[in-house]
Amino acid sequence: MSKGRNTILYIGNDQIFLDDLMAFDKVFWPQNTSEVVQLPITREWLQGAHGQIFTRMPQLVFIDFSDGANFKMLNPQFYDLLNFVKKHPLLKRTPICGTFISEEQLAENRNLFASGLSYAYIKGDLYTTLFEDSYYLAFEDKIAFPRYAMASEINLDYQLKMPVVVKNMNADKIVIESDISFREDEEVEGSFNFFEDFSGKKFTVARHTSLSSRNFYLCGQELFIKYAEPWDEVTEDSFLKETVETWVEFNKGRYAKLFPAILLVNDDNLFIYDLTVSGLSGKCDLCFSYELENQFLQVKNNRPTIIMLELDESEMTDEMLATKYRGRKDYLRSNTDALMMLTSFIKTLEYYNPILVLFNSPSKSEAIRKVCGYNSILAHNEKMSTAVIGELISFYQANKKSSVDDDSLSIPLASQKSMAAINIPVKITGLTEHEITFLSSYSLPLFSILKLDEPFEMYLTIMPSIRDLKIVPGFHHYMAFISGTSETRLPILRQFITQLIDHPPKEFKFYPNEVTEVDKEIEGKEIIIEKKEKKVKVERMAVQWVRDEKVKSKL
Amino acid sequence: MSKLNAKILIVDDEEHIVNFLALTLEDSISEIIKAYNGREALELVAKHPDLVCILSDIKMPVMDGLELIREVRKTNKKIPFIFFSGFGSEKYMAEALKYGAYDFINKPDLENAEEVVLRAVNESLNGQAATGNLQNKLKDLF
Repeated sequence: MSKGRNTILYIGNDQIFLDDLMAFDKVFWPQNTSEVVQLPITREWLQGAHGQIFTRMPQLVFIDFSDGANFKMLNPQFYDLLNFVKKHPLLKRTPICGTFISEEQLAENRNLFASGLSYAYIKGDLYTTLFEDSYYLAFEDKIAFPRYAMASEINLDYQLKMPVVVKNMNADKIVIESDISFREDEEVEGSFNFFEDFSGKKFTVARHTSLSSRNFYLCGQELFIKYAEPWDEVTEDSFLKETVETWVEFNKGRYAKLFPAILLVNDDNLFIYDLTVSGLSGKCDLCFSYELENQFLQVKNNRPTIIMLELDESEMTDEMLATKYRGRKDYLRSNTDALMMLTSFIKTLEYYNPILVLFNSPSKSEAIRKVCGYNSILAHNEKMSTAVIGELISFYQANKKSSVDDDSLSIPLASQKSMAAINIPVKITGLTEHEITFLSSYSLPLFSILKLDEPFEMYLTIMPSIRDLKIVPGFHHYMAFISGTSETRLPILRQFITQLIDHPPKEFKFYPNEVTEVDKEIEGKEIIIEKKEKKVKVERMAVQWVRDEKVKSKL
Repeated sequence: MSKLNAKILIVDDEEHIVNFLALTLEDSISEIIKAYNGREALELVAKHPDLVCILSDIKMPVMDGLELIREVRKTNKKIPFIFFSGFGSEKYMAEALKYGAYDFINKPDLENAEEVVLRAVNESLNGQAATGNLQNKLKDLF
């Protein structure tokens, strides 16, 4: 790849799709400033996928999930790959667009959105919309979208659903990760998939953290489950504590909480890749970070049990630092100075004593402990390696009990039980078959994913708007692309839009028989008119008959 | 206890400290070399490549302990450096960590230096494998 070229990576085996993509790309970049690279899906593809992605740093990725046999076989690996890419700070904004064979396949795997999927496309005859939308996602300009019929100024309330992911739960609370900054003590409504009777909807946000540890979401929250009190009437939406406790107890073996929680700071892409494929991330709650943040939010909010740093005391010029950190001022090099700041910071946090494991350390543990005034430090003179980290984790797990929340269940990301959705009240202002506009009191980051269920399940990706949006004080006005719909369902969406235009409803709801109902109403009115006319006619006839009789009698 | 067959260097601009330490260690270490500033020490390091440990003050005239370790580390990354620390040397201690400090001993506690020095000398002589060392460190920490 020559310097400055954009790279579009296609992970899949569909040659027709690839040909169409390359043809589109040629039109989009006529100066040949991009390349489309294919990575076929095979049994060993995951290793190749990581390497290709880090070597090429693509601006856009397509993953073909539609090959059912391959997808089933490699399902957890797809989640790992998505997660891995989305956690990497340099790839965070690389859109990943997935193609699916059907809406049913997408619905079964909707947690891919929680892992980092930006856009979903149900395969059909043409890929134009997919390519246009995905290139807009990646490059933001140069796309002349078709003008779709729009139902505008709808102004109807609706509850969109934001997919969130469950990190762990116990009988008292659920820890989720999402893109929204909910307020503490706020009451939210959501739906979870733990078990059938977990049908309650109301939760209270207990604690908000500004960083997510596992996924690419921006925030983490603890939600307290609102249980029915003994004096409350038990309804379908009630939570019964005993039921939840029993379920948690029953599943402790299956979803044992991963511990320890580890923050691993390392900017070596290949090392992180090695660590991910080694399987260690399945044995403990492992969170990677490219760098230490100078406010140590990763530490403050997530409170990892172990923090692993690889020290780098090499001389770096200002130019080298500027290149490495790309002008950002909010990161720290992992060196002794940062270590001093980190230990000082840790000492300000109550009831928190993580173990700091330092790699590539020129100094010994005892020396560092004395200088930092912090005893829980282990210094190792060699660089980070999977073997040593594995040994540390095993040793820790063998010798230490799990900490405070050891009755919590850690739900694997690939499990349906980790899927959840929180209701986001919005006011829908416009709808086409391609995009939707709405007002929200929440601040939603670009590329957030939301779910719309009317007239059927669709996914919305918040984008920089291609329309002028009215400014409404106190609200954010958003535009989102619609994805995840098949060509066979589009007519229903179009019908809905027509309804919204022609017969503005009082609620944002699709009435599939509404046209017939109106007809029936009209018909009914006609029947009434007809009856009235008939009555008048009969009356007239009666009057005429009377007149005629009178005339007859006179004669 | 038998003497360790090892050569160490003690550096301090205060002669009485150098002598005190030499006296403390003479029963445990076979050969002790003395220096009274960093430059002298550097010359002796070059002359005695079989040194296995350096005990050094941080603040010294002519060449201080930081500069000494910086210079030594250009050619020898492994030799343990044990520094004497006193009031007001925190900044220097932190700086010394960047070059590879083995340990720090408070000047008022110099009589306890023997244990630290023997540990450093033994490690230096035995060149303990990283993994084996790690296991021991884990046991201490966890």
